[in-house]
Amino acid sequence: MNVLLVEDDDLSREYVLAGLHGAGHSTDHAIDGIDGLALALRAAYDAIILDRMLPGMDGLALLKALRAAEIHTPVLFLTAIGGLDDRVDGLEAGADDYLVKPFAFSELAARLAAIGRRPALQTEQVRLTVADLEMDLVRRRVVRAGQPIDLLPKEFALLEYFIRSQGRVLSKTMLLERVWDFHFDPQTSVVETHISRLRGKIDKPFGQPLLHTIKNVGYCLRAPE
Amino acid sequence: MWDIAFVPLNKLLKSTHLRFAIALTAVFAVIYLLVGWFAFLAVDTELRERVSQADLVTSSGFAEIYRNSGRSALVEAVRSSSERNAPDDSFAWLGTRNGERLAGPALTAPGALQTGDVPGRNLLPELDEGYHIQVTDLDDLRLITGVSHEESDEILGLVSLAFGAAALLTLLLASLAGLALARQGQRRIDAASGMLDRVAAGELTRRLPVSGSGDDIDQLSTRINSTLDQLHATVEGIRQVSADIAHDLRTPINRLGIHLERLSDSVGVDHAIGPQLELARTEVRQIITTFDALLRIAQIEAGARRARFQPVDLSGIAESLVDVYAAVAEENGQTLQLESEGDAPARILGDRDLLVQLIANLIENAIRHSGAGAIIRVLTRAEPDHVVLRVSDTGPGIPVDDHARVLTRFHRLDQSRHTPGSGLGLALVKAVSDLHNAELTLLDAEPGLAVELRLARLRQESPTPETKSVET
Repeated sequence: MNVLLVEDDDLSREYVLAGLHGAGHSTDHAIDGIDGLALALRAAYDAIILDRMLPGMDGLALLKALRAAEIHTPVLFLTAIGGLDDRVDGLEAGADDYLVKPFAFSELAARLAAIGRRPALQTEQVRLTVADLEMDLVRRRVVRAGQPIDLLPKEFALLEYFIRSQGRVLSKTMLLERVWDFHFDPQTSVVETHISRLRGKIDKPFGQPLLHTIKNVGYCLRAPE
Repeated sequence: MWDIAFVPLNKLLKSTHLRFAIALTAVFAVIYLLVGWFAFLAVDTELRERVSQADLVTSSGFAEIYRNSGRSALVEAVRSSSERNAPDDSFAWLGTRNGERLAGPALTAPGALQTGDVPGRNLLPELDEGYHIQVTDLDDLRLITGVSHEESDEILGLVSLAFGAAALLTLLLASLAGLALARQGQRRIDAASGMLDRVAAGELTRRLPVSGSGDDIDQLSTRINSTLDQLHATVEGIRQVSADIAHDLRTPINRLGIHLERLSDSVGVDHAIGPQLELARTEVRQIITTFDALLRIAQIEAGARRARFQPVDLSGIAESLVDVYAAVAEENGQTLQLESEGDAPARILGDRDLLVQLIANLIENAIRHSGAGAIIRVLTRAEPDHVVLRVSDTGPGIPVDDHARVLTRFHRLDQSRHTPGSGLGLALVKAVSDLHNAELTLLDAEPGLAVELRLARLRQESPTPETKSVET
């Protein structure tokens, strides 16, 4: 992916750029909002990572200007810690996802992968499959190796998100936001509990696991190699 | 002017302006009636005086005829006078002193009459008006003349009618003018109170209109506006300070996290300091969690989120959260139950994200502190005007004396020091509750703790007034 990073803090910028290069992405970067907007308007990127607070031009204003110029490059919005309204402001201005600073690179990578490939998702699909696991979105049925699996509505939503993002790592916060609409850090093991229950239904009886834990990052559903 | 009827009556009755108008109209009416009564008396006295004068003149005329022309001329004059005039206007009677009639109408009891006012029926049975009579003795003759008060009564009647109509019209006009003034004043007050509601709802830049007339309402509005300016500046200040803190601290915290992650990556997990680095990273995450919670509470308390309030079904949120946490409770050996009372939906005006966090915090608190085997109940009750949310558990509870302290920032009970958490859970619950103008109480669930939240229920928007009247 060709990624533009607009970030004024040197250490954060180096950290993210190093991570992006390590993951095989090519990058451009700007250290203030005005340069950032100029770059975003000139070249076609696969994704833009945009800090909320920037010298010269605020990240939110940059994002609005970009969308006003009919440029729909996926944008990952970096918001300040404790910025209660930043998320809503960012999404309203046209951001595709947001991430609260400070963050681990793995979290950023997971979210970047999700928004970068979003257009390729076939949202109209009726039947989703991973290996021998099949999901029928119309009849709300799940079958693995020919055996029907009974899922609760939230388990179904969780599995659907995994299948649609198969092969990609989903972080705990991504799951919390997307599946449960939680925009805070729970103090109990909500995600772990529900993942473990889902595993009990789709993996345990079949020997070959599909849902994997990626330590310190999140979870990934993928077909066995 | 007639659309005054559309202002609710009970509200109008509380209007200072209307009360003033009513009082003024009442005083006006009393003065008018008193003045009218005196005028009436004066006119009445004057008219009666004129009637008795006219009677005296007639009587003197007859007396002169008697003195100049003698007895038979008087008899003739009285007779011809009686023929000219009907007795219901005026009459003249002539007889002897012992009551024998010589001329004029056949009076019932001429001997008993004396000068003054008498009712007509005492003179002749068919007369019903009041009369003034003049009794004059001329040698052995008695002359009685009488004049009816009918005409003066008619004049008085006309005067009263004109006066009454004028009074009625004046009162009517005064009342309407009063209502119009009251309504105008009420409008300004309504506009002001509506504006203050919007300020309370988070629109801090709203100001009261100032008409420029410099009247008392204007002066009050100007003062309220300058108070609002100060409030706005203070709230902006708080917001700016928290934004500054966030900005100044997030960068170093961010950098610390990055340094630790790099260090951890470069030494590898098997290195001797690996576990210590992992601990340091956990501490950084804890700092971030606490910091985030503190900033959130500060921003919630600033109240600006009210501008984003929308109708929310509280029972729906409770249901979906019980759905999420039932599994977590079960893993802990606890039971999480959902109960709901009253007619759904239990709708309120609020911030969905914050309410989700509030209920989630309460459920998580119960899960973390009530121990294995506990039953946790989440109840929503829709009352006519309120929605009540109650999360209770059968755990050890909190001593009643500590209930107030529990809701303050950072406070954690000594006995729960060993359980994880930033200690800000209930403080955030309190902040979100205050933001929604809700009543938050901690109760003894005997055994266990119950946290009850009471919010104003959102009225169903009804398209027709009929359904509204059925509801209320």
